[in-house]
Amino acid sequence: MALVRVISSDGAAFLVSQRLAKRSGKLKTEIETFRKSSDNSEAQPEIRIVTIRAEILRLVLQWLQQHQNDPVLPANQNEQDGRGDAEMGQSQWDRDFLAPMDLGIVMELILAANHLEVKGLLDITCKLVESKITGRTVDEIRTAFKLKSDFKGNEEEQTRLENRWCVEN
Amino acid sequence: MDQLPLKSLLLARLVCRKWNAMATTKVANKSGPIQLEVYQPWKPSRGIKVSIFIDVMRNSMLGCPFSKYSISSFHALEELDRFFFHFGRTIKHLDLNLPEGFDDTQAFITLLIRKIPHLESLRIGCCQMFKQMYLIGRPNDVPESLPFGKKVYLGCLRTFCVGNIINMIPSKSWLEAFFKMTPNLEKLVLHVNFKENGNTFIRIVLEALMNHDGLKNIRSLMISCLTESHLRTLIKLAECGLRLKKFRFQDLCIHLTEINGSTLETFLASQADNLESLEIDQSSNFPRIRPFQLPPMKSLKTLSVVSSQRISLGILNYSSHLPKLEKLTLRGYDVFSSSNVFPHSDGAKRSIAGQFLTVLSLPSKLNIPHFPKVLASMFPNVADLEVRGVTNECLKEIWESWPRLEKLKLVVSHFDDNIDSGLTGIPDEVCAELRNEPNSENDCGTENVKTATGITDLKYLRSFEMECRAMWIPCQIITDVAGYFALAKMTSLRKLKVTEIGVPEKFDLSNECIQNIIKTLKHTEVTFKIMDDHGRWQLELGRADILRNTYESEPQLEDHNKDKEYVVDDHSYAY
Repeated sequence: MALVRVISSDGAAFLVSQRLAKRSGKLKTEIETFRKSSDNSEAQPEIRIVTIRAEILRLVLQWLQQHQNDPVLPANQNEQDGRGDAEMGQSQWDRDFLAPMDLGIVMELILAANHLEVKGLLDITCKLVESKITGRTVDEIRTAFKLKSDFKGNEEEQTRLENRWCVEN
Repeated sequence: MDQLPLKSLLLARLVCRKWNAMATTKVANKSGPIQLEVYQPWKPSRGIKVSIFIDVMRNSMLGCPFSKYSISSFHALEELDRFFFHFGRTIKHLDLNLPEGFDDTQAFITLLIRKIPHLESLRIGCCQMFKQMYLIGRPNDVPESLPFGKKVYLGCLRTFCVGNIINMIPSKSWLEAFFKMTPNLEKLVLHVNFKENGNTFIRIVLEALMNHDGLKNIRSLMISCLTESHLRTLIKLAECGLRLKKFRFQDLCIHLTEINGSTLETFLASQADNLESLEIDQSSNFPRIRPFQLPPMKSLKTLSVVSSQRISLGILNYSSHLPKLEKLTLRGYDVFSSSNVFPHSDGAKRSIAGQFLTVLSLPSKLNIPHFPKVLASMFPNVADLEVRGVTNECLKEIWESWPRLEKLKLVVSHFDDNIDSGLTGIPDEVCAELRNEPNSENDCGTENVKTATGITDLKYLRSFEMECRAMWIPCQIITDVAGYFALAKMTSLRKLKVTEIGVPEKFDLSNECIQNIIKTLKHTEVTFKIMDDHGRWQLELGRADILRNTYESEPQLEDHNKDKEYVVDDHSYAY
């Protein structure tokens, strides 16, 4: 089985089958670039991901492994047409996978999924964050994301006023 | 932020300054046009007074985030000077409802060139300006406000939409000059009233295009109605280089003569290599479009034919004539020949017919026995299905024939029987028993009473919409049995919408059943809606409303003319 060594920003190395790695758009491109530039077809590619730390990379690979037999979604699949994550769905496994995560980890996972071009993971993590925003009050959102309001003067009121005029496209 | 819907983005703007900055840039893309009015003689008005908008937005933290506007209720463009001074350079889409008697073509063109230099999409309504002989003053009369000696053109303008032209015969020279100024125009939308010289307006616009240098750039054309002579002009334009990717006409004529099938065939054949989307909407009161044979179209991805009258497109051979078709919409009651539009007798053709087709909207009264099975063999990859008029048997066949459906819309009426059984997979007689036993859901699980496949077996289904139309007589197309044993079990759904039209008294489902659905489908956007048959009276309940109290919410009284508003191309005017 052909393998690839994926190294996180903090130096942890993960040995992954190339078949699995190629489910990430970014890793797939890197492997193909390595193949083209390498004389030795047997050589094992090594890919450094300087923006993703080990804990997050491990989660991405864990998710990829669970979904290795799902069809790969194109990166530009339109969410609005209702077919976004439909192929993969949000399975019970996905829910259990995301349930214990701190929101900070989920946010890092979103950035990692986006960077590594893993559409299915990006969909479900964004959906989770969206669920923490939609239907809540601003104070609840601030509490969930551990943020504080830093608006000055009547800036918040001004933004509320502008929001009233926005209508769905 | 890219992934968030508008509602969430608006909330995100209020969290903190950093989120505000990130969300605001996305709001502009997802928000529709801001409705502005200079005068508001009638209240309540849907628009915002321009002066108020200016005062508020001048204090905006990050500058004005909006780029789409619809402006109405003004007498002269000077009244908008202050607005365009502050926000003109950020405007990309503008719907300008000019006053009916407006004829100041110089002020209009100065506005476009000097004050809205980045305009990409423009819609203008009825006005006298088109009657003017010259676009930029008279030949020797260079307007003061234009850069003297410079070539005047609107390089950013890609979409031009003309709407509500009534009793107007435009000047060809004005239009020719306008097209000369817009060499990059890609999309032209002409929506006119045919009772009032509208067909003449379209004829002159098409003739003016004949001398347009940028004809080859025009990729999308929408005409609200088509005549035989328009088609002949279009054929000439095709000879001059018109190569459309998208062609749509809404046939709203009631007085005009028939369209010869061979003329339509000739025009479509001239576009056959490039056309990706063809939409025909025949809403006239007699079948104006004579039978024609749709020519082979190797690039066509979308075909939509909506008709209130009989229409014949010839035999549709999907595998050889429409090999790339992805979306097929056929709508109308008993207007298509089923054997022509779905030639199912030829097994060999059927097996490879439409492998790329993923979106299918079917007309009512399809005369094909067991049509789900037959059509699934022609179009096995359908993921998005819309069906009008169903029986319990037909529903069971849909679940079995397309088990990988992701999106489904059912439109049913009082002509159809109760479909509890088809939705749940529970035999009809058991459904009848369950209806008479309150709280039966608590006593028996679905699997104990289910004998056939039901909608809950569609594991990939993410969106389910159901429209129940009972125009004259109240009827229960679905009951609590479907509510408890089908709808409430679809926990993988992202969106569930049930609309009842015609008898706006109460929902077919009981309040308890609706509450149960809401509580069970925790991750689903649920909407229940009832409205009268003109959409004038409607009550739409989302999750929060339902959790409060289903029946005590106030209905919303809609604008009486809402259902009379014309529909312009989704992508051009809806921004």
